[in-house]
Amino acid sequence: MLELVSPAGTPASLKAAVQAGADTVYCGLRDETNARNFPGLNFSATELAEGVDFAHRHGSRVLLAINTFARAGAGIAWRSAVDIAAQYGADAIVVADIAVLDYAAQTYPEMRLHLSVQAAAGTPEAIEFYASRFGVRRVVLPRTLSIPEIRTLKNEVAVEIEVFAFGGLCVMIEGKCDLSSFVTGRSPNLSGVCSPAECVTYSKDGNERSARLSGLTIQREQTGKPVGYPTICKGKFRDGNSVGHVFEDPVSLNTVELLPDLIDAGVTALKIEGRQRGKAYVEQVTREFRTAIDAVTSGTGTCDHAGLKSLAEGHRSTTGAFRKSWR
Amino acid sequence: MRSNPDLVERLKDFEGARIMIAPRSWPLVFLITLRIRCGSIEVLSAETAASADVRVEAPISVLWTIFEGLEDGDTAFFSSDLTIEGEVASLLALRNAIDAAGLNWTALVPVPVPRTFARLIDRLRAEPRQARHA
Amino acid sequence: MAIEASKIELSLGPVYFNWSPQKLEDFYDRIANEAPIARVHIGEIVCGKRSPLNAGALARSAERLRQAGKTVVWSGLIAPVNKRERGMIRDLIATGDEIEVNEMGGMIHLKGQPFTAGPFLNLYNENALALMARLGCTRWCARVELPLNSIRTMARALPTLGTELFGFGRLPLAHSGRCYHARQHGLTKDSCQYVCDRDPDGASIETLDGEPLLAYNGVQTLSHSLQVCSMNAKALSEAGVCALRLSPHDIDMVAVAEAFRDHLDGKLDSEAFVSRLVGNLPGWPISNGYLSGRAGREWVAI
Repeated sequence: MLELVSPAGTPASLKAAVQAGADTVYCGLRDETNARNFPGLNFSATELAEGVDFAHRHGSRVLLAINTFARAGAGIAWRSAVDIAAQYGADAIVVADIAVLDYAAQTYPEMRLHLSVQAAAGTPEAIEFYASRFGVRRVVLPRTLSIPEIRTLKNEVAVEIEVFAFGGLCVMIEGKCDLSSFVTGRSPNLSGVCSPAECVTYSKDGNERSARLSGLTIQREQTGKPVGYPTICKGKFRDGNSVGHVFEDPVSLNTVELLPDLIDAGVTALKIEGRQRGKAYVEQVTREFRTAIDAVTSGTGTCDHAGLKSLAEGHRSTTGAFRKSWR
Repeated sequence: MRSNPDLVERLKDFEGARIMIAPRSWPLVFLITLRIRCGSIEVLSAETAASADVRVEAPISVLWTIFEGLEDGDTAFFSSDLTIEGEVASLLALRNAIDAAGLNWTALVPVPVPRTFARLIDRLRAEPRQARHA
Repeated sequence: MAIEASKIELSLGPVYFNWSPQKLEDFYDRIANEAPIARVHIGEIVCGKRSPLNAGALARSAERLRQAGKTVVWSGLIAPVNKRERGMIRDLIATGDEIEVNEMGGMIHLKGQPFTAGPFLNLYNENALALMARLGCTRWCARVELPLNSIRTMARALPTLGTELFGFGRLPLAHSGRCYHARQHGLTKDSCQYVCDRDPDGASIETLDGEPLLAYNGVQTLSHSLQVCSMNAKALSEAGVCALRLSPHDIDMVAVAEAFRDHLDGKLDSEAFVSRLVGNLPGWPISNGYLSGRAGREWVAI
């Protein structure tokens, strides 16, 4: 059975996801220990406890994302995040840093460890390293593998496979991307923010609107044209005499039409990205994927998912690296 | 905000932030000032010279859907129904705080809603959301 | 233990670019004969598709470098994508030569023998580094976005490890499953026609305001600006750094190494060193913001 893993940026989103049919929700604490350290977002320890209780009462599981890399000399925040997860009964933690994995494996041998996409473990050997050394039970794959490659990989590893299914699409290998820190000084790997809101300014010049990241214009569109988040990898640049999206267009990932292939490839869980999105997004995407998964697994075919399109960056979606031609 | 400690906790870094909500082609705008003790919402003329850290402009129907929590701001922003000018951090914090508290923006409006305004709200609610995005 | 100031080594990082076999051999020939560089990292680490083309030239160059008394270290791929590429690090380890690992998968082939942890592993704190030391790591090159304070904390926590700092070159900022040289030429990675060979230093791109910012090199994204670490030997050794890594570019790398060597030996003060370096690189901006915990693209007086 395919497990649906939904994002929860706030307690209200957690409830919405559980009620919309998520088998599992993932969330983060309100500090730099997770990769969505956005203003006004995330959970306090007590909110986590309430969230775990609510989810368990409704038959869902909660994962705590502790997926940034502990700052040198300041590992205490990451260790206490692991302690909080254990204390409040999170069903598993999603971790990238080998130091945090080591602490969790030594201190809480019973705790279920999932490997975050930020660990960039995309080969059987890398997954074997994490599984044998820390007892990782599941890996969130980097967004580099096609579906046939996932099927091959599944046969060579003993852990569960989780893949991103909808939402923001990183085109650079997560955990190996320093584009945000190069421009803004803030890094998703270190402080959990990519192109942080504090560095984003929008402006209107005539009938064009621009987005600047730390003063650099990376987006300029005619008003009325769909746009995406102001991240560098979706930005517009001048390459010689042509101007365009060099790395990726403003698009979101949407794999709803690939569900049969993903199941066939042996994927255990589908991860919806978007802890920074609002409750309405979480509810709608969870509901659409719940319907789609149930339809595919019960063999009643798939239904049209037009609603998902409007949730996507730039109003366009892609199946990303799942199809080799994307490379 | 006093009434809701969770809002305070999520917005404490944005004390004094000024957020202007401008319904497209309306003669007036709403200026929200975030303050722990007594935040305020002022109704000003659209030509006001009052400054704000961030200005959000969108058709009233889009704003309303967001206010009612039926759509997250990012969706409207992506479709460019909604445009932003200025620094987005305080706006994001307010959206996340309201979302987290399970409120919707209408809870922010302390005054009883005038009858004419109420009729407008009902008409907006009746407008099918998908039609607007077609 | 502060490393004796004048003993700060110069090391050469692996070539990131798709240079022809002849160009590689000529380059390493000059390094072997003329460059004041003690340790040379060699190997294809960006795109495994290039390795059948340059493997011979790299092997011959390694031999020449050894004969010239250099320490030669084979560097592994940042992100192997198929069975052949995953096997490359295993085969390199099997040769018994010095090895630099840039992807965690390489770790399972090591049976405790010494290795260098490359700047592409995610080692951000002293506990992660200590764990690598327990697995045989004897030397590491710090991730480019790490601030100097973090590097100092980590180096001090593991004083027996050699600590290298990325001292010169375009910063390696990101790696992707997609090839940008192919994309910009209307191709895909599988039918790339090796077009990345046209840009020996990567292809620069500018922001919409016309400011050069980044450069793409196949699946790798680099900074446009050149990182220059202008810290003197005393400051480096105080931070626990024992070597500066110079990343190869299609410029006179011997002259670059000589400028660094003179600065580290105290023959040049920092201003004179920077202006001499910049003098032979007209129009190419330099940056060092990461070391001060700021945006990598900034230049901060150290």
